[in-house]
Amino acid sequence: MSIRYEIKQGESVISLSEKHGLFVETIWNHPDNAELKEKRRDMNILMPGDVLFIPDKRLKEVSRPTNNVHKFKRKGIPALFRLQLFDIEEPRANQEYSLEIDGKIYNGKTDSRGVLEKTIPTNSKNGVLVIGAEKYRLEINFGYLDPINEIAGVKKRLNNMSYDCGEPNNKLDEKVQIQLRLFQNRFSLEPTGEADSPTLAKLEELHDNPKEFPLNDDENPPGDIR
Amino acid sequence: MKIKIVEDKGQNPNKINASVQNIGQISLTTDSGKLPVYKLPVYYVIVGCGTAAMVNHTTLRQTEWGKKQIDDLPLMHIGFKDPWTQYFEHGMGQPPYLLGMPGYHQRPVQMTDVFTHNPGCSSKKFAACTQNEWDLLWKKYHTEDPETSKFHYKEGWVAVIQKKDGPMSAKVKEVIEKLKKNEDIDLTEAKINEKLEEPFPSDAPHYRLVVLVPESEEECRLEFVYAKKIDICTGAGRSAVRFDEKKFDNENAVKIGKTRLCVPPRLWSEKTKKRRVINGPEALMTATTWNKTDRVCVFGSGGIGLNMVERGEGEKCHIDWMARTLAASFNLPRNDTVLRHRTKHFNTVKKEELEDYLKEKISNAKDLGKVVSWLLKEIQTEGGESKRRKFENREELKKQILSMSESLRRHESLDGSVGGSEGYGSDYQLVADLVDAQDLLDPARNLSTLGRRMEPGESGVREGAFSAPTNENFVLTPSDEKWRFGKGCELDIAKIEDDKVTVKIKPSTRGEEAGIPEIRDYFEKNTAHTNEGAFILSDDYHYKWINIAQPNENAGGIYDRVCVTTGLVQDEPGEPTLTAAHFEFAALTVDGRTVGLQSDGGNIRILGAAAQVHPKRIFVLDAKQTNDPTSVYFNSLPLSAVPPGFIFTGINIAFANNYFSGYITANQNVNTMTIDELKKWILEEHWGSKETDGTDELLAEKVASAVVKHRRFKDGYENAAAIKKALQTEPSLTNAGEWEAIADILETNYSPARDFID
Repeated sequence: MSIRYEIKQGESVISLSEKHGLFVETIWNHPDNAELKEKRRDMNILMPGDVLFIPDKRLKEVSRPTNNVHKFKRKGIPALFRLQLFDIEEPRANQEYSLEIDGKIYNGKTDSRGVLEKTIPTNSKNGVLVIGAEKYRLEINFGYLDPINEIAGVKKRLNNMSYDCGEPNNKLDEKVQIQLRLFQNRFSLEPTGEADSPTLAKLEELHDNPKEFPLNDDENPPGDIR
Repeated sequence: MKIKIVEDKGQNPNKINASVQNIGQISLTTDSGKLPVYKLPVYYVIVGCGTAAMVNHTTLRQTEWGKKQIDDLPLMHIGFKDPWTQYFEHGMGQPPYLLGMPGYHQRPVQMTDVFTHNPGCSSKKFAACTQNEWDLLWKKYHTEDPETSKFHYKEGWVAVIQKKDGPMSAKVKEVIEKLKKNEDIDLTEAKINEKLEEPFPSDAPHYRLVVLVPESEEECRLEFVYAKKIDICTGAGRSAVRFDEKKFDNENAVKIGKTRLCVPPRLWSEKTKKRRVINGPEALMTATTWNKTDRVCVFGSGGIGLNMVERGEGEKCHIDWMARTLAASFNLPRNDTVLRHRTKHFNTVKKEELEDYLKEKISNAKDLGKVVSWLLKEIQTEGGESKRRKFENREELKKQILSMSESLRRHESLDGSVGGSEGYGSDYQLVADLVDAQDLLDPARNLSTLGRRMEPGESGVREGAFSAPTNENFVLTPSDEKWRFGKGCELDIAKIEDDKVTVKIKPSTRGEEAGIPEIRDYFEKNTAHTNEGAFILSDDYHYKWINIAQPNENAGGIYDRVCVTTGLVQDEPGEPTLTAAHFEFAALTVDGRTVGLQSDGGNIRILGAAAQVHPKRIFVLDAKQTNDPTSVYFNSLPLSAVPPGFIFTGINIAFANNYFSGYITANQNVNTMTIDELKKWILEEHWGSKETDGTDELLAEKVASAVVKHRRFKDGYENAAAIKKALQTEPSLTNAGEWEAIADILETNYSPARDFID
């Protein structure tokens, strides 16, 4: 039976598709989700309270001879987790890491840009990453990133980049204004202290599409960015 | 224990919030739009939440002048809950009609049961009026949306006020250094210097308040509040909690006794609530635990010591009240309310009082309720106290009790729940014996006849009977009396263990009064200044001091708590003297009178008692001989419980907010009007536009002068009849037909509050 489902923190289309036995496209491209699609654009970065239409499973008929045993294989829907790690502003290139997600351990090594890329279960909730010789420890909440066109989404991205906005709720306050100004100064944007279009675009570019991070220069003092 | 002040809690740097993506998906978009712009909240801040703060807020909201002053800014109160709402109910000293604050929509006189058993307005009823005003304003101006709300509240403690221009001033640094040295506060985690060096945002107003927001008894958070205008209404100062540590042998107990200056009572731990060493005002708070039969030793002879007696009585505890002197503190009309003889004689004893008393005396009693009810019913006429049968002496009462012994045996409403094998008759014999042995049931102990009298020549006490021995220090032995008062002594040392306190006192070397005490009666009805010069004292401590003079070592000298009433402090962090030390304050005057202090063209004001105790205060209390209009006015007012009290505070704040300007009918309260105001009022109200021959002005002045002249120093005029009665004694008013008509238009309350202006 199809349902209208209210998104909770930590959920995304990919995690719900696994739970409901549907492909992500089946859910996201359903006409009843057109409005949400327009609002959010990224199916895996939704806001708690968003309402997602989850269609019913469709019946699929397959012809097979009787009196035989047949195997039907369910298609897996792996998810991708990608994270670029820095030590101050130096990429943590080629560093070994251990990533524990919901009790399962994944070992690996970052690439030359400090990027960790791993396929993980779609319903992953919490992870602990230990990286580098000093065994730097990082806790990860999967699915907790909010859309960038929400204040909480801006705060969470800034927090992830070590611009400390405090509690990442959906309220504007003096602290986020200060951190936005620092961010804008660092990336040569007009220091308005506002989450304006150029700032959001830069934040999204840097945060949601990891690439090599711009190096520091004398005019832009380094932030504590990992 | 120090309270830790921390920065605003930030994000855990070792935690990230991530999304997971479908393989191959790139979520980059090119146009993310624009989020709302953050607008720095800028407030009209009122520091404080008590009576002064509320009179200020409500009078601002009721006038066009106030509307202009608020300038459409959202108004924020910063402070802790009004302490008066948190006190154990007690009599305040002033009568209810004097405690109706200007602008208040509800006044104590409009409430029922407004007197406590001790004369004076009930503190709870008074606090309820302040709370009512808060509620009305909250309902009118507060909304859930912080961006549109016009009334905000932050539970916090203002450490210092910063000014926008220039570097952090030397004065602010000085305040911070004092804060750092404060033994209550640990600022190491707060990075306060870095915090205070943070530049003001470009759109910030001139002032930034550094606020400590309590989160627990151990931790406060540091926050900024930006303000365009600030009114400081913090009262007369915080209760002193700095005990003389040399007088206590237990360092930990003393530390627990000192509550942190930025922690409200609601966050006190159980240990704090039950602390063995405590100051007076905090002991009066209901958050402090008093258990029935606790024994409390109180030092200090002011009104707070008196409050301890009142709370002790209310909680059924034992109080030993020790002071260097009696007379000076009891000179206040507030204090004699407890000393006056009350209803402990049988003719007016209440059922529960008699029951409690008999339970204490009759050890095998299980339930005396029925016996007591029956007893009162039988020997007293039903229909209220006025119809009670009065016994002339104890023999008459005893005879009556014994005569009823037989009928008691047969009384069908009694079921044998009291008494031993011999039945009720023996209980009655016991009650009758108690009449012989105890003075509680003595009908002769009557306020109007044979009560103990204090002669002025005795300096308030009878020598030897009440004074501590002067030959040696000794350990106090608590008596089993409800409360006692002792003078001429001070605390030598208190030995404190986990659950008990041993108090050693010594003779006081100072504090004795040389002059004759002027003990005032509250209503001047049972006057202290009779022709005989006598005044009736409570018999609660009759003869009991003798027990103290003969210490019983076997009794152990154990108390549950020692309470030190050490007054108020005005120079600690949090008080305007320091909070706003770097602002230059000048007098805020209205009609030639100083009604507050102001700085920066009125953008920062100190109002109420905070202005009266500030170094640049409104006037000096002992300058009674000067012709300064403020002093002259103050000295014409009825005396408050404490000189910088509510009456003076309320009227000054109303004036500071131009509450009476342009409203001839606004301050019609003869208890706080000046002669000029009275004259103006009489001319306008009595004669109005009627044409007269010029004698009206002369008569108006005569009546106005007489009203102020005869206004009773202690408690003003209760009602119009009291005004008339007083004016009858004025020689300059000869034509009763003329002045009585004028007296009819005089009021003893402020005019009703007005509507709030949108």
